Amino acid sequence: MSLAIHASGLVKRFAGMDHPALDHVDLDMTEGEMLAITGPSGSGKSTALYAMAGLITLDAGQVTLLGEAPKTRAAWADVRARRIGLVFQEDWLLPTLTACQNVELPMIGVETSPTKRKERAEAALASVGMAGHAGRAPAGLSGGERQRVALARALANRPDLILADEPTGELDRANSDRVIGLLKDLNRAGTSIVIVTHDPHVAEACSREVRITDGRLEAVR
Amino acid sequence: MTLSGIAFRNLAHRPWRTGLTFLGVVLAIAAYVALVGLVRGIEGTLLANFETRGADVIMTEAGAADMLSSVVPVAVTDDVRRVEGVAEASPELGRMTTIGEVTTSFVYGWPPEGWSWEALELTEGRFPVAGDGAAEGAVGGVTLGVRLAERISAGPGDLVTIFSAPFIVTGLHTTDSVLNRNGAAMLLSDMQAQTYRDGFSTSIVVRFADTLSSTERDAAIATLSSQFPGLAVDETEAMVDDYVNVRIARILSWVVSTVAVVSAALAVMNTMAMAVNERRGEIAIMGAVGWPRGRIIRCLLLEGAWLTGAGSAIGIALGVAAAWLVARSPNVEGFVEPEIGVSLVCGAVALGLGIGVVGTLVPAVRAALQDPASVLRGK
Repeated sequence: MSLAIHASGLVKRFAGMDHPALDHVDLDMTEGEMLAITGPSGSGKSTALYAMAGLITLDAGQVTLLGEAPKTRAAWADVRARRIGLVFQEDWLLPTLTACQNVELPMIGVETSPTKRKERAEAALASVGMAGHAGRAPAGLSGGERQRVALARALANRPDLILADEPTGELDRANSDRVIGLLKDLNRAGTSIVIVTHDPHVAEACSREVRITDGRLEAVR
Repeated sequence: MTLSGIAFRNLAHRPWRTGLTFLGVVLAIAAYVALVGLVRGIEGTLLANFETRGADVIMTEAGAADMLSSVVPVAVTDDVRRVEGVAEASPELGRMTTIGEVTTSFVYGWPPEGWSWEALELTEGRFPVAGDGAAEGAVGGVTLGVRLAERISAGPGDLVTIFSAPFIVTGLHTTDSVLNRNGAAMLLSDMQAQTYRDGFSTSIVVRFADTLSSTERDAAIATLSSQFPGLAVDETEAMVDDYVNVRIARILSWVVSTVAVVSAALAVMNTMAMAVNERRGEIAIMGAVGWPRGRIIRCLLLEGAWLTGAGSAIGIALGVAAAWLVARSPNVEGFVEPEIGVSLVCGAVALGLGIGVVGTLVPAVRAALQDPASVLRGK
């Protein structure tokens, strides 16, 4: 199997912190894996995820994603648009758009046909059990529903890799289980998934777990 | 869903804020269109006043602030006629005065043989001749522009008071010049008598021979200038361009327009800065899902374009209406017909979009440069 993620020597320091948020982190993840990154608050686990998504500038180290090693911000944006789906603790849905239009957002610039964008967005919503909510505004959805729309948005461009930062952090147990179930289904279908979590139940659902403490990464299982 | 659709929805999401900024843009563009249109109208009206008579050059008192305060001896007209290339020269006495209820009318005094009469097309009656109105106790005859006659409800045979003296209306005239349609013309001698300017006019209007080449024309102007050092010799367009009241109106229109446009640009910038600040998370998610900076900036610029594009369209319509309303007001009617042509409309649209770009670009670039990770992590 080829590597979904190859991270080597990642270093990131933030002003005012005693220790680096990432302290020479090395990580290899095979395609098709479902990896949990755990650790206490402020340990650097989210920073590691954002580094893998090219959303922060590293002080040192390099990330190769699905065989690509983007160097510029624009190149990272291109990789994120085509190959990565991102899910966050907050849903970050645009309140002025409907659920369907929110899901279409990553497809602008990737899929040129507005009709196809809409069809694919509706399919993505259906895949997370939100088919009947396509025309609804985020304000009219529950927290769990909003997070599922955010998950559909991450699936919009049929990504090879999903990076999720505390995707269940603001959900109750039932909704959390539902979101994790959806992610597991995606993983079974071949999508590589990285989940940053402090929830042991979520970590257990993953095929592998690594832990970050004070910026240093260690394998758990 | 398109970028333009996203931009429109964002604007519609804050109807009050958008509406007030929109209003600022509308008023700025309306002010620009109305003021510039009116000033161009004033220039066009003055120019048409000479051009309809086929005037090539106007000779006025050198150094006079404007044509109406100029004093030129009528006696020099014969000398002017003798200059090589000059086909005709005619003294003209122009005054602005009250006629009936109309407080601002141009009155011209021309000699009976003067060629300026040819530019007036009689619709009723005849042009005045010496001795008109003596039987009715009038000091002379006058022909009224059709619009002025309509406004003061006067016609041939009626007596009207001009320069505090009674004149009998001998005819009504029309012309391509709005000033003349709203003005009156009488014999130079009658007007000189009533304005204490015996032997004087305000200008000498000159026509060159049609066969003159441009070099010969320039030579004729140079000869006139050197032969009559006490008089300013101006081609009609330059005369209008230098007319002090036109210059003042032009400066005022630009000052007011500039203040309005800068205010609108600041309002747009303020609105967009607030919008961008409120939507930091949304903009961060656009970056996170793979939108390049250029597309984020374009999306925000489209918001500004929606705001100012629609504002320009309404502003132009409002400006046209305002300019015509001002031109029809009692104190202004007869002086000006607004000139709002394609170039002014295109200028207004460009100005509107410029307001949008200037007002939006800085907030948009700042938004696109923000670090999405720190926003999405709530830091």
